[in-house]
Amino acid sequence: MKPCGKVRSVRRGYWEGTLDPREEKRVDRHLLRCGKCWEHFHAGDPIRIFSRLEEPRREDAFWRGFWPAVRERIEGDRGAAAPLWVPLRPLPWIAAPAIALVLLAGGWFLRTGLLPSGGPPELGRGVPPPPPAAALRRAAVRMPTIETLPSPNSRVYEFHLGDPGEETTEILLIFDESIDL
Amino acid sequence: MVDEALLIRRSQRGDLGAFEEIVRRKRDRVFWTAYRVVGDEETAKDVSQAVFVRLWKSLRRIRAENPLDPWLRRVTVNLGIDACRKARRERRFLRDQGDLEVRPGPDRAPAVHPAESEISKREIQRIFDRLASRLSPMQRAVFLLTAIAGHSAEEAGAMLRIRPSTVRNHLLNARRRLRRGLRRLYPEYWPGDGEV
Repeated sequence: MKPCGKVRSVRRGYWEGTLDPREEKRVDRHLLRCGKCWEHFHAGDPIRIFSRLEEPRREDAFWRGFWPAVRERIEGDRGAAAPLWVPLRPLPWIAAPAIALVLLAGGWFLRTGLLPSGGPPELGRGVPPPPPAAALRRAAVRMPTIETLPSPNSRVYEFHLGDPGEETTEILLIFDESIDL
Repeated sequence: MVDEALLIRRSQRGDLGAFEEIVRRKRDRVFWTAYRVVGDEETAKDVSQAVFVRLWKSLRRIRAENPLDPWLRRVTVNLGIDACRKARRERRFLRDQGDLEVRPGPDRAPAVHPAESEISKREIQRIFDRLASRLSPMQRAVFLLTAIAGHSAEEAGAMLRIRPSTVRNHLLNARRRLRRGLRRLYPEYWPGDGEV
């Protein structure tokens, strides 16, 4: 495999580090782009002697204490972490549909009134009992009353807030085109 | 010999005996990889232990059918790089504090036969350890994975979580530094004009 003509002539200088820095960068850029030159340059590289490095096999005496140290760390971490271990990965896949189901079911029950209310059974399943009459009257008088007042050019509404017989708050609402805010 | 996948499954069920067998089978390779990255035996041993502790903690996420070696190599290289960076920071701190003496200049290697085939593996190891100490942790890891272990730039990039183009850049710079070191400190091993 021959290198490109662009860098063939400068290979020696590149290896020896005697090229001009700009030229060296040019060769670097070319090597990063050209697989052919990359292979060729590295095949002849003087540091190819390091390709002979091997895994040194250590004697058993070298490993004395190695496994006990690993075991000690594992058992130390195991004691601290065991109660807290939870398979977290599937949790979102289970939790999300469960939460959605609970929300849907709760919303459906609320809408249909199927939540247990303790009312009289003769009213039928799912139908809430009517509130007592006194509670209805109280609810009615608490609502603000509205009265339309006569006016030639405007529309005027009067609101009364509060219980009859007690101090009430009077609010007037006036609609008039001539009012310029 | 028990199948590796079976050992992994037993270990996943908490069998420390099975895990010990995995450690026994893989410790040499893990240590060698760590040693190439960090450059000294004690640190390489610490890194190797950390790798196996990490393996134990990660067992549940590992598929027993897949070979362990790529996972081990990736974790070893990354833990080795972390160890190198930590050691560098400590050395820099000690040097700034005035607690660390500057090492004397390099001594010349004894003259030996320059023929490549006659260089002993022990000598190559010694030369590499000395020259590689001048590389950054990442350059060292990239050189180890590509030029020595034979991984492609894509494979090395996946292990180190960097782009293949970054791997190649690191490799170019690592080679340049090693070449310059070899030529300056061990000129007897530099090939002559006819050998290049």
